[in-house]
Amino acid sequence: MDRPVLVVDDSAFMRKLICDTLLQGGIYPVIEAKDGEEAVAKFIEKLPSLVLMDINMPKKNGIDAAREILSIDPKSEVVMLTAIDQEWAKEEAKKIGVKHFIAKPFRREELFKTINTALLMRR
Amino acid sequence: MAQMAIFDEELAEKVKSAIEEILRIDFRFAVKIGKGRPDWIMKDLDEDLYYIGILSRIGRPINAYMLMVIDFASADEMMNSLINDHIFNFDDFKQSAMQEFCNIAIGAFASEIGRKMGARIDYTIPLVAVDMPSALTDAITAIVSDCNTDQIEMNFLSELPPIKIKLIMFKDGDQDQPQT
Repeated sequence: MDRPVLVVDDSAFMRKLICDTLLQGGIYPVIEAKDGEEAVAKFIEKLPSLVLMDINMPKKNGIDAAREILSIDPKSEVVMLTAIDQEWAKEEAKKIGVKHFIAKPFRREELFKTINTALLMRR
Repeated sequence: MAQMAIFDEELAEKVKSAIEEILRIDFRFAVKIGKGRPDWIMKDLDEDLYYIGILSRIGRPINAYMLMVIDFASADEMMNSLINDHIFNFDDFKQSAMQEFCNIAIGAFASEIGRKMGARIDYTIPLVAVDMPSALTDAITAIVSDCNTDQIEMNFLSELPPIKIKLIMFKDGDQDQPQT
């Protein structure tokens, strides 16, 4: 994969867990952002092929960051990866163009399946 | 309060499933519902020991504080499962692991309440503190307006390895929205 996967989560522990899981699954390079603001900046700088986005984060939440990213590049694939497994969050995400939603705690198989689907949709 | 009727064992079951999934350890649980000062429910903790307390606020229509309390022996076992390390030197990364663990547990709790009530349930990013039980509840006593507040205590226990996790919800009637 030429372009990186961007992992956005305010928890250093969760970022490491996700990045390690991706690397073990042969998905790399991986870059990280610790909040929505940094995510948008990294997206503009690195143009990742895929964004894995938490929702409940300081500075800028994941919904707002995903909205901004999708307005910059409407063909971007964003996967919401969040502990907020609530209808409103799924609806908000869908409304702004996010097609993928995974609830934490996530299973590796589910993560890989969703990533593969998202990357196929991007092509 | 009619709203309290939604707090049943099904809620604790959802939290238990989330905890089991993260730690890959089987748990059982017990739920107690009562009323009193915020420190009432902490009476079974050792006053002279330090605990890890993780606090989050849940917004409308629930209006409550969620406090997770974990003793250091349990936290050591959890850390072993989460990052294959010990609790010794409770650095930023280990705090982040405990914070995220609590975030996922509260997320499961809030999601199930949201489903039952058909409402959006917001909650703040959990804050981690290390202190004695009285100090951990002091912060809540200072902000919860009602001295006779509704409380729900969920105790999650595992045998092998031995882990005790206490998750308590303190109702608060005054504030409307979680402050992030």
